Amino acid sequence: MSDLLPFVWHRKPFGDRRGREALLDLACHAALAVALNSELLHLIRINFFYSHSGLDHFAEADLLLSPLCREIGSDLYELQSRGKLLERLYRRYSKKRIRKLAVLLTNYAKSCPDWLKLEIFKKSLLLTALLHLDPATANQLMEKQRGRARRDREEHKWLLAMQKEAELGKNAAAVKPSRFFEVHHLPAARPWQSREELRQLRVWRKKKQGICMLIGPKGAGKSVLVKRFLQEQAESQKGENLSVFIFSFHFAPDIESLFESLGVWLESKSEREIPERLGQRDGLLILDGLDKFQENNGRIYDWRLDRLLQRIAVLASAIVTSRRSLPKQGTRSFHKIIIQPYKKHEIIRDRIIEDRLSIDKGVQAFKPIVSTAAKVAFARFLNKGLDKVEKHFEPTAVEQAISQAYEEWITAILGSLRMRGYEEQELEEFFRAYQVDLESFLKDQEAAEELLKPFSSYTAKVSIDHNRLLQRWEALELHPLPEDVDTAAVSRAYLHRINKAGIINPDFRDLFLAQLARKSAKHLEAIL
Amino acid sequence: MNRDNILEFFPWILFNRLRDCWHFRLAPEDYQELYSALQAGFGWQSRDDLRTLCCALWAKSLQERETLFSLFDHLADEFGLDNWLLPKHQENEPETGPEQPQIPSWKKPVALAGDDTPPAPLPPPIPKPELREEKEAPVISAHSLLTVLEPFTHARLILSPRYVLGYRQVVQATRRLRQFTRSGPKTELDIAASIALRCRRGVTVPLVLKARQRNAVRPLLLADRLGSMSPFHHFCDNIVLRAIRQSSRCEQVSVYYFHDVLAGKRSPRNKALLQRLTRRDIFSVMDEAAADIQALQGGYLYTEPKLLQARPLPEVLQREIEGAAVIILSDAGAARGNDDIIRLVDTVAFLKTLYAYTSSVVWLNPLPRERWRDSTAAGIARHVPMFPVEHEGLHQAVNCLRGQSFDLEIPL
Repeated sequence: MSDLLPFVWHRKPFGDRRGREALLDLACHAALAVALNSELLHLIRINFFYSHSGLDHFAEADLLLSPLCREIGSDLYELQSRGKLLERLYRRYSKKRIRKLAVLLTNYAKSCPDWLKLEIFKKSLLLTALLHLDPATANQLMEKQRGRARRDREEHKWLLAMQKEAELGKNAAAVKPSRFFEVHHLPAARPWQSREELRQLRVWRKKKQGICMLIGPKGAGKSVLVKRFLQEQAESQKGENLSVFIFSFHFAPDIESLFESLGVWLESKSEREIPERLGQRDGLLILDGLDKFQENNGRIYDWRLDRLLQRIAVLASAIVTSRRSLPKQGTRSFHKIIIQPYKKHEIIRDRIIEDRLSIDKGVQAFKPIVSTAAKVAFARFLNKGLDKVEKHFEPTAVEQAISQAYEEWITAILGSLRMRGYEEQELEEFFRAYQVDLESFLKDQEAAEELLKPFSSYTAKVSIDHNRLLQRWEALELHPLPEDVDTAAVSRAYLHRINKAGIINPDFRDLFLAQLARKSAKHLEAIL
Repeated sequence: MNRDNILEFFPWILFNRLRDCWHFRLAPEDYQELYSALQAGFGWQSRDDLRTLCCALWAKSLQERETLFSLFDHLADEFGLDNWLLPKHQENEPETGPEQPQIPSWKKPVALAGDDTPPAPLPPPIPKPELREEKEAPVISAHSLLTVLEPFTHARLILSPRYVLGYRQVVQATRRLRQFTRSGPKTELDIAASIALRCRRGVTVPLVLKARQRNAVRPLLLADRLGSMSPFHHFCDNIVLRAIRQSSRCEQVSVYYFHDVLAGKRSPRNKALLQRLTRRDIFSVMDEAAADIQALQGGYLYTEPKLLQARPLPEVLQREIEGAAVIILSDAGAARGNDDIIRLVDTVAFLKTLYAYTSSVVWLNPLPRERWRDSTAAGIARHVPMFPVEHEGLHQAVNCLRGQSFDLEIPL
């Protein structure tokens, strides 16, 4: 699922992972409809996310304008990767909610008959709703229709498409949440430093029951400690029997979502069963950011959550992170671990080292692209009749310098993403999503001219026109870059890096100037 | 937590959700009213009964009723109140149903306190749709599918949009857009003039009449269509434009459409300026360049939303601009976050043309201010009063059209 994250539009308020995850949740609901308009998406949001603070009215526009949506008519959209989105829907939400969603689509089609002008669209939408409400009846209908459709080519095509739709729904319904169910992503330490609290956590885990509270101020590293602990557990048990459910109130301060996801994961129909089922499964519940539901004295003000934790303390095990401790009451007792804040300068130092390592890793991944693009740029030189000039230089040295410059450009992009909080896995996603695009871009003549501008400048005050680069990117019709890439900052960092690395020497400047001179001479010839 | 506790919590959570999430105007007294009604014995017959009671006390419009019904059912499902007690309706039912839940003592209705309430039955199961066997194979059509889906469609859901701004709010704001002048046939008695005339002449004279006061403001709406405005079409058409058209109490409301910027030929001077600007940072140079931009000479606007019937801009302006309050409705590139110098220059050229005719121009942007940053919208907002389409923004826009001064960074 995470591979869809880059395609959710990265407007600034949604620039963080939290916002993008929320948009994906909305998208997976919208994916139930074969086509949708802005009003239907709005109705889906207000019916199913009315208490979700992360999704406002403008989130709808963000989703509709994102690469995940394709406009197929005037105010009519189709979602891409519906299979994956439907799987997310079935994995995270209850059947009851999905049925309700299908009913919403039906009621909307019924109450607004004009929104889908074409009958074929309308019946596709209704049949899809029926496929999720009552698959047997839908399949029965389609089977009966098949005999008649043999005479009608269009009808036959439509039935084939709907058959695929049925398979899509069937596959999604068959998806079961994994034993290690990460509803929300916990941040990883960048980099990890050994901490005493981790040892305490290991000792507590041996008891296999009760609640462990990690208490510490904001930024102390509670969530990253849990993440590290889970990684260790997964490695030690090879992920076979580890049954973990992770929910973060920072992402979704919503009790209903917690119970719904827990219900889906534990296949339990009522809230009462949850602690027992969790205990039977030997599962570990992780609740991050409990302070969202605590009063100043630490008391939980939501009775359902309070009841859940009271029963889990006796029947199962959970790790809870919070800024405040829970008051002792009744039968509830818990193990408390106080997290001391990590020293800030140490974090910064370690982060710089780790950033460097992961960026280097990223650059290595792009190396084949860079060398091919450098070859293309160099070949372009030779084609321009500069073979004589080229004789004075070591050809591989020029090619190498171009290649190094490109590497520095990619490093600058990765650095920019890293600054925005991209982690290693997300950087890998970026490589996968933009590999082809970056290669085509670097091979493009105009883009290469702009990027290699410092080669022909005698002064260090040369500037890269990031707007031109962006226009070129758009003209080549490549995937839109994530909003997190600050192109102006990337250009500045790129210039700084190539100057610092001393890639360009005066000889190269001569060569590039000769190329420019040749170009102008040809231009003059043409005019005269 | 037992059922008593749930029943104690349920109305309170419903009340809070309605207030916090759906902005119902409810005061503590409203909750007290429900409490009193429950104590008096209302709302205990069934789940529907309690829902109706909540609706009667808290919902003030059809929209609010729909929201309340939907939220009530949602919460009731969550609390497991499906098989709720139905003492009145089950007089004839056999006593084999599930155990009757206990009613908290304070909630027990006075009239029913001593009754032997029979157990509640399960709600009737949803009849499974049966496919009618016909001689001919059934055709799947939208109509037939709706029939098959009919048993499923009884869930209470919200089916009318709740945008950031409602129709009524737009109506309230635009009603303030008025400038009264007397025109038309003389139908009203002018008392002062009549008395003055009578005094002057000293004899009986006919009464003096005067024309009725009329709102002379003529809103001229220029709406951006397609592209990044597509997600806002429904909101703009059904809330903003409809409200202004139907209820602004103006003599005439004209609506024209465009896409991104006005279609038309760019002047050679602006072309040259653009070539100079594209390679440099936009905002730093626009301070000087704004004066050099030439007003748009030609240009077209469209008379219908699909942008098929064009009309020359000079013709539109000649016909409509007199006494007009121009309202431009566009995201100005903020929806996609584009920073487009060409769009900025073309828009400034068009604004210059508009300002040559009238200074009563405002720009309504469906996106909030924080989304304008780093986009063409931020650049345009330096030249024209731009407001977000929200309650406060709309009132500010109306104030501006009524003549209130507005500080612009670079006035045109």
